Amino acid sequence: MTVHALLPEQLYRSCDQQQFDFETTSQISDCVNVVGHERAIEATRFSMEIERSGYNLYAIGAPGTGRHEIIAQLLEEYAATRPKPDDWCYVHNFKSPGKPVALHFPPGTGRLFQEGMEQLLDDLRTTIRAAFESEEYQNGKQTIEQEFRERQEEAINEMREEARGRGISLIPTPTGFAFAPLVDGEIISPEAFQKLPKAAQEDIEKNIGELQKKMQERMGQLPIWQRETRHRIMDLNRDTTLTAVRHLIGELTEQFGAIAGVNQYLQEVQEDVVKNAFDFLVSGEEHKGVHPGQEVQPGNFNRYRVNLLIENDNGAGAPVIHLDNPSYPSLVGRVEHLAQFGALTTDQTLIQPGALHKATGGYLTVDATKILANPYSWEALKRALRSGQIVIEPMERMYGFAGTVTLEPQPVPLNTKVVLVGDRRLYYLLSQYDPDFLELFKVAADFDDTIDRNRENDQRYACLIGGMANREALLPFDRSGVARLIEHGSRVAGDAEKISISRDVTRDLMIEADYQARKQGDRVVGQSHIQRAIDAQIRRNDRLRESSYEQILRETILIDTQGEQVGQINALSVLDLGNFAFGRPTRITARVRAGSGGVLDIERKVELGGSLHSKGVLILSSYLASRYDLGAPIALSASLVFEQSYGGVDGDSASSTELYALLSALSGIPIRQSLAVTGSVNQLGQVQAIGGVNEKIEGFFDLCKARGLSGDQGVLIPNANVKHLMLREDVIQACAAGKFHIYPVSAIDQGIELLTGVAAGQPGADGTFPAGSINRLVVERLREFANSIRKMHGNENTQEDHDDNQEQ
Amino acid sequence: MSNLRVRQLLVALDASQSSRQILHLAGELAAAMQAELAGVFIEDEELANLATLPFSRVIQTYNANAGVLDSRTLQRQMKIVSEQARVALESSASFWRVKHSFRVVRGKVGAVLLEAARETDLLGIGSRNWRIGGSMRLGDCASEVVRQAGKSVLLLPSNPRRGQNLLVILEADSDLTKVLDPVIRLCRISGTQPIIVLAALRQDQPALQEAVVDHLAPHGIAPAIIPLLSHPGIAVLKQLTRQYRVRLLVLGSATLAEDGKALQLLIQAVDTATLLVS
Repeated sequence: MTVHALLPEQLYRSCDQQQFDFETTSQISDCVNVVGHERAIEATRFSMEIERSGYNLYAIGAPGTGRHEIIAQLLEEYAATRPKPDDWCYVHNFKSPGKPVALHFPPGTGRLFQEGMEQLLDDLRTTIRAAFESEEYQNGKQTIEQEFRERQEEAINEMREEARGRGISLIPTPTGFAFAPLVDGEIISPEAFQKLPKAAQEDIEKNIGELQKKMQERMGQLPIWQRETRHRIMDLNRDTTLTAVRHLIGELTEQFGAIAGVNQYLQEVQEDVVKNAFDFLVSGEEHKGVHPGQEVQPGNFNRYRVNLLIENDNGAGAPVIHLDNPSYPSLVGRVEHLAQFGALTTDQTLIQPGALHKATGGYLTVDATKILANPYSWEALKRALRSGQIVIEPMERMYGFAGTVTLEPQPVPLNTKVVLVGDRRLYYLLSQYDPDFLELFKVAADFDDTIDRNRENDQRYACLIGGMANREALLPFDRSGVARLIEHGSRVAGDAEKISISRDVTRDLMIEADYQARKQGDRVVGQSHIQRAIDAQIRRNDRLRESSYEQILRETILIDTQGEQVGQINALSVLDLGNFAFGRPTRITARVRAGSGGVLDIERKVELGGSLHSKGVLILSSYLASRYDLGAPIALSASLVFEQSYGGVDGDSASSTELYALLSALSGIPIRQSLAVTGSVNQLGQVQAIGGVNEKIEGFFDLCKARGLSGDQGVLIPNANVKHLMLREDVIQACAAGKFHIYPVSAIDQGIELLTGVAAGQPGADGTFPAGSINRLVVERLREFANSIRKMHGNENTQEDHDDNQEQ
Repeated sequence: MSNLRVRQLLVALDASQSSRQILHLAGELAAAMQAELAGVFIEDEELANLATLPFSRVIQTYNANAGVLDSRTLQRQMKIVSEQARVALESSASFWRVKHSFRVVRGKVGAVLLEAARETDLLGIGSRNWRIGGSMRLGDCASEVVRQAGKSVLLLPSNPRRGQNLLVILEADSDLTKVLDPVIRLCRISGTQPIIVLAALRQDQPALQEAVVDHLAPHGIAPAIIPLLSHPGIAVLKQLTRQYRVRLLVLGSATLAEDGKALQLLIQAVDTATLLVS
């Protein structure tokens, strides 16, 4: 049962520098970029290679593990092997102007088409104008108009001649024509008319009536002739325009007509140009809007312009897009508007692509947290992945709110692998609460944050360091530096058998060590520079730690590091500040009395204790009941308190400590205050591993050191935590000198013996513990409590009978 | 138009829409000559008499219906179109930035035009006046004015053909001073060189050409001269105005100007502003 303090070599696992066959990392730079993550890389490759819908990727891992870099590296590798995707353009929809048409072109051809259409527009302006100003057109048009005039005048002249034959003149009026009887070439006056014989008057009136009727018939023909004339001029205009533009559009058709949809589009352009040929006759100046550079109706030729939405002319292979700010518009694109004369207008040239467009045919990486934090983005991404197409739709329309009249661009097919990069908790939350998630992201790439520490991985890690030093333009690291970085990686991992592969942490430390080396004028970074950088990091961050220790040293917070106390023990906790964690001793006290309240967790009672802590306390009750079976319910009321703890307490790493305090209180045997304890306990009394063991040990060591190491101070840790030890050099030296001790404990009995110096006592064949042992004292105390309770209830015989039976 | 200076271009207007359409071109020419643009709206007295007859009806152009033509309605309509004419004149004058005036006169059209021609430097008449008819484009009244006023007349088409050149037709018997003085004036203002067609017999050509050059050279004008060995017929004039993209045709031919029938044919064939120099 005797527990021996750990040897110095058990407190720290050094890295053997001699295993490296280089002098400095300059000899090994860039030999490897990725260490570990084999499972994640395999999953990523699987996702990239399987050409099925829904096999998108979720990269799980903690920040700093290099997920983004590794994913980006893999995607670039795959992208280089894939063909360049098509260019995409939006063009005007002449049949349905609110719904621009999406056309796709072979890579690099989209711009040629766009430029071709711009050239066509320029050519149309000059060609159509020239055609309509030509002598042939003018002659043709004037001939038609002249024919109409002559036809009209002929009809009127016929009427005039007929009227003249009857002695009547045809007179034009502001609204038409009137007939007037003439006398000597002059219109007859009313008086002269009245003087005419009745028969002559009737004859005139009859003639005029007949002429009017005929005139009405002739005038009824005018609109028909006008319409005929108009149609003939329209035909002339159409023929003139067609002759002028056909060859221009024909050139484009010849060049791009084989591309799907282009032939039809160019036909529609031709028809529209013919229909609106007169727009091209307005001079350039008349196109100018009220604002500089702005063009307005009627010469708005934007409908002939091509919006080159996606161009894949540059670079090789498929695109790899990282969307840093996945807002809804930046994901699926948007339709912009221009304010013109107080109204918002838009057309296909104002359609802006989203990241999904840019990544079409390639890869898109998005941070999972960010896309969920951006309103509607997550829904939009899912909808695009589910439907296999990218729909540009304003948010207000998507949710049924009234909005500005806008466009409904034709959806673009989505052929993109999407990679979400997020943490583990989010992955499980999405899996549980979003029914679409696992359908759309079937592959998870689970990134480790540690790798096994062995010679092979040491070599690969050294290569990784070399590569980083090279990329970051740092001084080379010598063997001692590399070894120290590996050792620090173990410390960060909290495990002597693992190395943390957090790229961020390693890179930061390397940069800071490089700074230290350069400051000293050294050309190579070694162990001392790294240690100085680590110390500087701690120094920058340990104001709170110093403040905490100061309070203990000034006895504001009461922690004993010598002497003995009944029901009082030093526990250890860790304060994690994000980039820095440190251990802090805390006093736990236990008080017991007869009663039926069981073990009272005061922290829980005042809502300062978390559920895990309460679980630990409940385990204590179970342990007491099973270990000290009195044949009757335990008549114990005990209370446990984290003294001077004003924040929350959670976790079960102090449950063994609480049990020691409780056993001390029950047995009346004092606990050595020179020791601190950490470890959780199960119902069987086995001490179990906890986290933050290094910080906890160092926290108590720092306090003892500040007060002066007495030689009997130390920490009890779970035996299962020995493999995690990567302690500071000063702690190791103190242990080596016998000034500080670290005891690996496997069971409660071991621990209580170390803490009290009294044997725990094992039950004999009769089940009783040896006299004087801790356990015997505990049993006696519990029985005493039971009896006092029984007396209180007037039923003392029952318990005595039971005791007698037990002793027998 | 013996004076070099045209101070006023008086445009005769009537109730027809085409007479208002000539105002834009009239304004442009007034601006070129730095003259005032004056308008006289003629209320036809004969039409007023017609409205008093008991059986008067008007066949409406816009719907071919026969409506009552009474004095009050006619008066109202005249007021409306004269107002439209005034607005159109003001608009043209404002556009071309020339001085303007407007008046309404009631009387017989021929008499009013003749009187107006005497009062002004240059009379402008729409080549499609309110007396519409196939052979009456200039109209009986206008023809009479051209022959009797003794002053130059500007015939203005409502749909003039596009052009920028000044084409002058001269014959051997043309009064060069009368014809070329306004040409000099227009060339100075517009900065263009005229195209001059010399319609004369071969033996008369050198002398005529020399006289033209002598007349124009002191003013720094070097015309393009086209000899024509015959009388310029209507077809030739039509071809010339189109070929040379003529903006203004100056007709210094007394033969044409005094031949009403030939003049009518010319107006029908040539949709170009034409200055008849008397």
